[in-house]
Amino acid sequence: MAKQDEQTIGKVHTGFCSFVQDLPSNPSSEKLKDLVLAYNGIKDLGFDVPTKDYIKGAVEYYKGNVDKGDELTPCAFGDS
Amino acid sequence: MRKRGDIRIGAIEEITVTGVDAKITDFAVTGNVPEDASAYYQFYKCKVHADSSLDLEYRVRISISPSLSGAETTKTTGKMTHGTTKEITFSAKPPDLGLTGDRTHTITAVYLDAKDPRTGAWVNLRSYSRSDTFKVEKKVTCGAATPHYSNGCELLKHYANDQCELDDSGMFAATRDYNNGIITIAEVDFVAKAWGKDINTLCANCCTPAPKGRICEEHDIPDTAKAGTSINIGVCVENTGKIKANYWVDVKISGPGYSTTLTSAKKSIDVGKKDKIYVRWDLPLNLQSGTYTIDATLYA
Repeated sequence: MAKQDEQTIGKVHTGFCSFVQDLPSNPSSEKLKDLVLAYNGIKDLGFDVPTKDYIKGAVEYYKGNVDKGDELTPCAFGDS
Repeated sequence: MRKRGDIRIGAIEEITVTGVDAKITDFAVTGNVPEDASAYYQFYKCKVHADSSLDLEYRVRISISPSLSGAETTKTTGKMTHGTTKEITFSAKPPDLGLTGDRTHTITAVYLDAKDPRTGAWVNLRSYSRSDTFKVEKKVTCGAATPHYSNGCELLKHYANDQCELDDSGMFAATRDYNNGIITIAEVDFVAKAWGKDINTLCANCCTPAPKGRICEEHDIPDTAKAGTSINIGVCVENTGKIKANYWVDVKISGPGYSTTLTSAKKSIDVGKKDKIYVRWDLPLNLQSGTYTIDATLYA
């Protein structure tokens, strides 16, 4: 067995991150509304929105501030 | 001065004649030479000292016994000024002599000539009787034992890279080993014959290249995934070696509070081809929202 190569080959976004990943390129106020509803337990999006930071992060993505959004959420869109 | 009648007989002027002179010193055998050589190898050197008041061109000749085909036996110095010294070297590129063992040659005489600037003729100044010996080393072959290896193939394999190519670093290593007395000139010359080539071109079926591959760019990785589901991650792998080989990958997935490593099955990939090697990721039901980084390590 001989190691030939080693590198980072990609990223997979799950749950909340999957939901918001296109916000920077395709801003949608409907998605923000849904997140607020999910945070308040009114709507089930299939994942948890555990803190307000997730909402704030989503707003930053909506505004195109990817790095700020990454700081507030477990997502990493900035360097992908 | 004598006087006979009115006739005077005798010297009218004295002329001082300065002789032409030069000498050779520091005779030395510098090394052996290989049979069936791929290049010229130096075997002898000496120093010419020009002591003449005239600036002359000198020539050094050597006698080799038995005579050696492909050996230099005459070298000229170019015009030398009074009091200067020049080192003269002799090299040889012997042909295939069909030797069954190393053959000893002796430099029996060295001659120093000077060129007459008026006529262009060479005039012998000095002769030195010598007994300096060197060897023509029997050529190395693929199958026969060499002085330091079980055969020529093993010698080449020692200096070739894992793709069976004898590259510059392998050639430099061989010359360094020769200078350190680790291998002989015949062995160096055999390595030189394979320099820049696949050693199998010199010794057929001598070497099997190691598998070689790289992770290419065309992966098959979904952007998103849901907890509690499974996804397939395809890693692009390219066979950059010279042989068909089996490859496999370790895929490390890491994200918020989670890390796992998945090992793929082995997959055979042809030379020069790209293919995808898949692992299946079963996302735990309780996997947190987040971005999960996929790192791959390729093995062959």
